[in-house]
Amino acid sequence: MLIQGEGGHYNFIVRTTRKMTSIIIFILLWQLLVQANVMSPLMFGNLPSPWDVSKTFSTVLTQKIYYYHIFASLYRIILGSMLALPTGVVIGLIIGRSKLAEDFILPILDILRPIPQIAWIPVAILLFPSVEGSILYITFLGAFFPILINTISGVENVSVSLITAARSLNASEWQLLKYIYFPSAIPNIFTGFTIGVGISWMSVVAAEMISGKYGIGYYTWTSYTLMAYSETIIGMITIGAMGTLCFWGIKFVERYCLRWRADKGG
Amino acid sequence: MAIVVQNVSKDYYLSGKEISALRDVNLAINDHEFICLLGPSGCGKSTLLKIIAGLELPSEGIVKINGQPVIGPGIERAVVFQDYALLPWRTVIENIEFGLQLRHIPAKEARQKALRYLKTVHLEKFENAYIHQLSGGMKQRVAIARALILNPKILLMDEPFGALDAFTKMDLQLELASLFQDKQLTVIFVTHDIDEAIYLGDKVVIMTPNPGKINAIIDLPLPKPRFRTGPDFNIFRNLVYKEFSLVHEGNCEYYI
Repeated sequence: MLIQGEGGHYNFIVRTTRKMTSIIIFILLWQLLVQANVMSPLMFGNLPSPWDVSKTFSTVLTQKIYYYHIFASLYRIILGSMLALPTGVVIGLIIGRSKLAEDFILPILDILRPIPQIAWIPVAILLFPSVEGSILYITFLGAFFPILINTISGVENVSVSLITAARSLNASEWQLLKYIYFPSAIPNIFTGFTIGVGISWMSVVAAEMISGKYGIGYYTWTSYTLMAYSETIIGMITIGAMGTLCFWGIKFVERYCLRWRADKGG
Repeated sequence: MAIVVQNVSKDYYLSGKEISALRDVNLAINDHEFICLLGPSGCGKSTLLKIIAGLELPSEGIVKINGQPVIGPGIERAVVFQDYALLPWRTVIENIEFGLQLRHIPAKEARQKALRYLKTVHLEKFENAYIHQLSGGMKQRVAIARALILNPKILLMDEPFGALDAFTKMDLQLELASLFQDKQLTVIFVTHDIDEAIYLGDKVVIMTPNPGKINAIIDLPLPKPRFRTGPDFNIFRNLVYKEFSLVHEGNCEYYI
């Protein structure tokens, strides 16, 4: 980081003030549009105002059911992506190392990959005996493909000189995979995992809206159907905040695991 | 260990065109000899080294070590590369013990041995540093330790000091010369630096490109350690320079 002395400190205060002002203006504008009951071109008058939302929020925060919904969604995300991580990495390593596996497995995956997770929901409901299973499947799928694709590209872009060096030390095929290909691919795996968890979030919210009985997506949608619009906005804010928290969590683990990289602390 | 290179040729196919990297190379290397393969880029010196290392197979001919044909990498040989080829996700000490780990040596024993070799290459202070935190010279010390820890009889070095600055390079040459003595190694050292070849080598093998082949072999009967500025040193420098200017005039192949 650049050392900027007094000027740098001043700069930080100025920029933070600007950013805060920007957010305050956004909220004020929202309040004004709702309060003035603007109905054209967009029907802002239908929305709850930030003031209404914050009042409701303070009561929602004291309700157990709110946290129950949050944990239901978190549980699905964690389980789904934790199943997707080893599956994606193992299949990715196999495809990356074996042309035979690539020719047999990759075509199927290439057909399934462009199908959005939301489009899977009907089939998932048909396939799984429980709703929970189908939602988990959607979550898994969202994380699986980015992890798989990035693992394959990590294996394929391994440094030739590291492979040569390991071979000169009499490394076996299995040792090459364990000590060179896999660790080389870890930065890519993290990229895939970050993207995957993001997609997982989108998928789980959509799946909960359609078929869930609980979860933050279900909460958001049900509030809407019950015309509790403040709760709908609270649901949206919660979804956004939890997505950001997940992202930070992954970045934190990534920074630790990749501390050997020149550009990552170290 | 004695190494014999017999009628080795290596051809590559590059977009359908055949390229002759090595043509009919013969070379005999004695036990505990320091051989420098010297020549411009494209003369096949690195290819020859890789064939001796068992990392590439010759198109024709054979390499024998103590009478045994080379068909792949072997435990009596270790290689040091110009680009270090260290594992960036491992610390210095973990890189040094890598070869032992591949041979299933117990972790504790491997670590103790690695610490000894860390000392050999004067990097005690950098035991737990990551590779990106080291200078080029330090990286190459780690790579040398990683190779030596396996007690190879033959050390194969592919332009190991080519990317280093002149001062670091001279330090490492000095240390390599003493390691060569201490460990009773046989070294094959690829370089395009004439002074380096004369400073280190017992023999300098002069190679020329298109196709890659051995043009001359110069014996260097100078006592070691050598003085880079001594008159004897200059006599051999002249000899090698002459050898390379001859390259443009004809293809005469002779031995001194």
